[in-house]
Amino acid sequence: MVKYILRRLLQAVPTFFGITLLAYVLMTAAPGGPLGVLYFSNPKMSNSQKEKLALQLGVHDPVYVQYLRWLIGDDWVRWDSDGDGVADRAVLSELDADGDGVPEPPGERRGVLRGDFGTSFFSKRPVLDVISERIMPTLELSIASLTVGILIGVPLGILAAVRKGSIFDNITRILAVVFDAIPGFWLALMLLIIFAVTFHVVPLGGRCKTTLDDSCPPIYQRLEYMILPIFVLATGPIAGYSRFTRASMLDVIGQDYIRTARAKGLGERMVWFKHGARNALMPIATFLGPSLTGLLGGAVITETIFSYPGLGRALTSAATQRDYPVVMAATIYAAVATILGYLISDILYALIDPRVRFD
Amino acid sequence: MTTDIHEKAAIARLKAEQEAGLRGGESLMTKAFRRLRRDRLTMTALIIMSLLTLAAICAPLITDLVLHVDPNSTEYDQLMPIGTPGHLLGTDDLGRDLLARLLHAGRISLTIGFLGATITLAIGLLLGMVMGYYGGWVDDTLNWLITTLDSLPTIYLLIIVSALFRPSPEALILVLAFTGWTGATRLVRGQTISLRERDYILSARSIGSTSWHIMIVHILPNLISVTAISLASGIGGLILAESALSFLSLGVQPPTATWGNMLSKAQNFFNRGVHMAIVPGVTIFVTVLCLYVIGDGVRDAFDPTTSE
Repeated sequence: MVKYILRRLLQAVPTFFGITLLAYVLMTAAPGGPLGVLYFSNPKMSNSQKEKLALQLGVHDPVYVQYLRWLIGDDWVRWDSDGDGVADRAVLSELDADGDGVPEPPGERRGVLRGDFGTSFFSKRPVLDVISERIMPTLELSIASLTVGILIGVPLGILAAVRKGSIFDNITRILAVVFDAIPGFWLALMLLIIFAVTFHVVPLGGRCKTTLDDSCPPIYQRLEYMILPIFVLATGPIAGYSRFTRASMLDVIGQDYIRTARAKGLGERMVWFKHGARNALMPIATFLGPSLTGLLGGAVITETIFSYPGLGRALTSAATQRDYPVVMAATIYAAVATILGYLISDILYALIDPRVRFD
Repeated sequence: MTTDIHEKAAIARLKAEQEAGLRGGESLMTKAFRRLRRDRLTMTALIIMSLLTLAAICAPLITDLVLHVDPNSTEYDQLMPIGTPGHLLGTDDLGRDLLARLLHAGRISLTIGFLGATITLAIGLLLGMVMGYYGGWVDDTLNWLITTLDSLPTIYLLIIVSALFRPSPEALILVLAFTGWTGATRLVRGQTISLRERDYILSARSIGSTSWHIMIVHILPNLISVTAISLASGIGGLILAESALSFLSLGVQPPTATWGNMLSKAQNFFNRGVHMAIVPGVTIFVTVLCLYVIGDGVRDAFDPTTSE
């Protein structure tokens, strides 16, 4: 088992590097690049200042060196980070590249792998801080809607399978298609029009009433802010889980051991719920990873509409402002969350299903 | 012994069917189409979808000859409700006729969906077949790429790419295809792997057919039905993605109307112009719903295990 987990962890490594590579390539390939944004944000910058900035960002180095420096930092290597001398070739440089007899000071960046995503172009704060404070709100929403999705979707799926072909089954299936086809952002708009604008039951958006010490009250005191976003986000999981559970149930119920259970005289209720549902629910563990991706994706739109200060909204505003460091950090965070989600669901599945082999 | 019994049972069943006047040697295709024709829900969805497509194709004719309005002509601060004479579905905040815009937007939104899904499918067929047939390092490398792309929510990639590169509607199709090809590729790859080991592939190889010949002549025809089925839901997914993106003002830019960007200002006019949110939203919802229903229906009809 430990071996299995370790191997699964190892498999996640190339994926993670793929994501960092993708994020980096997209940012550097964008028209203008990071330098363009910085020049644009400060039009009064003189040419020498521009050159200094370029040297600080190390844009004259080969791309792979820049990528490595972004990934693993430069505080362990001496290079001309202050831009006073000849721009030496970063990682490959000698201790004293410009030959003035004084070794250059080491760089100050610790690199993405050690949690240093640089400084936001706009708020000028460390990106890690900007992103970290956005994690909790998104986590709140995601976990709540996943729970709601499972609590509603799974029983719906089981009942639909038990009463296959009945009106209930058909309604559940239609509901699943409707929930899949409804644009999340439009559903959010409609709910806002009904519950916030017309009936004033919930606020139009936001997360919590700001207090003096800028901390939010516990969740149960601000449910009115969460109820609509959770419902919108839960539609996906409800549709997915009900469909998946139904299929899994019908698959299990056709197996030999169910026939055995019936043959030895067990009641239908016992057969369906004790022998059927318990086994049918196992593959649902594998659904955790994909549904996490769906929730993170849905959060982007939902958070924007409900002015909910989470990771998704951070991404949209950073992307429109071209705040590259924040965009990269948000991307990597989301990817790590997804990779972890898949990892956990695989391990869970292996734990609860004895048929999974660990070799 | 047991096979004997099964064989006899199968023969008996066939005979019984033939005697009962049921089909003897019908192809899967004929059966599927007959099933499809009987499926009222799918047929309704198909009809609605055809009407919507037709309306989008004829949009300039309809707006010029029937409605006599221009989708982009504005009137200052003229937000008119549904049912205003001359403006059947009302106007938006700039006084533009909503019905006319809806029809013209359909051209863009449906084109993006149809073309995007077709390109996605083409990429999926090519890469999936190569991965599944050759295996080895080609498979490993592309698999790595797929896992990497799949570990990010698609909307993240879409937002990043469209915010940084500001694509035109044509480029947006490519962007959507670029972010959406992984699912189709995985589907095709799996199918190819199972086909690769069949006897007829082996015999083709034994008479000296080249790999590409085998892939195009022997494997591709067997993949068409599987992938074509995913086309309808693929179109629906892309229409949703485009509308979400345009809603965030990151997709197609106004004044070119799409169903998504018609909604992007709706949030500012909750009190005066609810119809601005309802009209495009219902259209997207109905379109995507029809496409999903068609996708489901076609899949069921082509599923050989479906009993009648």
